[in-house]
Amino acid sequence: MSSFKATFGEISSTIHGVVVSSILLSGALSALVAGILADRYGRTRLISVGSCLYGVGAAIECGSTLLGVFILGRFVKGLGEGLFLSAVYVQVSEISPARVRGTMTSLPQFLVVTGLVTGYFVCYGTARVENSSASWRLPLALASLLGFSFSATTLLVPPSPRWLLAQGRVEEARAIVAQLGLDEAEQNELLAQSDAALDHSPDVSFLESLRQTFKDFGAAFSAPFRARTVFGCVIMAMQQFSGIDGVLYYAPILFRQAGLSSDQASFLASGVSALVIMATTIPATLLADRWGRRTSSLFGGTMITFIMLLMGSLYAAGEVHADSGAGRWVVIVSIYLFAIVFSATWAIGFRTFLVESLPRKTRSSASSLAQSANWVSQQIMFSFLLSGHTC
Amino acid sequence: MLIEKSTFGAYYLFAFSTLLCTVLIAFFMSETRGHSLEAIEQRYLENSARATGRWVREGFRLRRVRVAGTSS
Repeated sequence: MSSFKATFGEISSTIHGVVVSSILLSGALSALVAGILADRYGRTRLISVGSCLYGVGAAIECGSTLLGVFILGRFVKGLGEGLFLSAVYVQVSEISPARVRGTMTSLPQFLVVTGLVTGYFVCYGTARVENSSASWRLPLALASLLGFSFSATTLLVPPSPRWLLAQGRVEEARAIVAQLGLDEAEQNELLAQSDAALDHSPDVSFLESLRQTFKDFGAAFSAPFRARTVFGCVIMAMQQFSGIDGVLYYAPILFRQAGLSSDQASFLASGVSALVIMATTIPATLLADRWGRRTSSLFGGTMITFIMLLMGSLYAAGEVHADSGAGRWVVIVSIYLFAIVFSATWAIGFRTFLVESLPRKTRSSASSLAQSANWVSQQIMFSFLLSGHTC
Repeated sequence: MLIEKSTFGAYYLFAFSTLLCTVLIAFFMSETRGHSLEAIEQRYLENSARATGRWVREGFRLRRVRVAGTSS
């Protein structure tokens, strides 16, 4: 952090807020149109373009010598992330056989968590590089490299047969379906929809294609699909309001409050919780198709409510002291338990259900809208937690 | 910072919103495990075709069902 300050000077909490928000808001913005673009140009192509943009953004951050340029880099990174993130889940869900679709759709979440842990420990290591901006540039260089390689490898992934059908490319869809390992009943159901192609023609004027884009946007909010779009946006927003990112972000402070001594111990505590989340996500991903999305979401919600009530009540009753009593240990265990329950249930179940519940016509557009809702509520949470002095 | 200043407020907020979302899930989330995406879409279509009349409880799920020929 000191080398970061050496480059950019002292950073006020307002600027800190801007730095954090720059990635969330730009992501929320590009996610608004990402789904429609993915319908038009294909999921894989959009993933590739989005992650390439992410790589560019990270490279700008990595090379920046001015804070403004650093923020611009994050902004570009966010735009890229908004383009590719929800398309990844749609693509995976659409090319997976029904019997393992839960596990397959949870895999991206597992990789997100793996990235979280890797990021944590890379930064833990590079933070020890003295007197050199490499301590914060190195992780960003790595992120940029990963963005570009993800972009390149995505080009090897076959397009979704469901998207091909919607484009009227029946023969190509048939060829890919044959390679996906779907059982016969599912193959037939999938291919039976081939007559109902999306009404996009590839060569229309720019203005016409813009008009069509708005029409597609409207489809997610028109009669039979509206309820599912809204429900999807609500659950993805509520995912944030369970407090997951708030609690993880403040975990070092919470652990210190609960009596752990130094910054370093707190940092390790956060690192350990990232490891715990990863360790939970592995069995949760493998078992995702053993228990239903509904069961897991209800179980998770009940447990999280209970854990939050417990922690709130301990604090409200003044039972948590930094130097004595059992209250602080209960808080620490509760935070871990919360992280475990959340990553095993809501983190993967909501996303899987979201994509599955949406019809072909709005699957891509509505799920990227829900992604946008998730980032907006994360932003709301963040500014609320940062500024809420009064309650 | 809210969490730092008055910790219990934040936790009660999280508890409340999680509870709210759990109730919504109980009402509106159907099980999608193991069905093909097309079968899920078809099921939604059939449900919405019937949904204009009154609320009916079905297991843990509330659903609106049209009552043919009645004005209630």
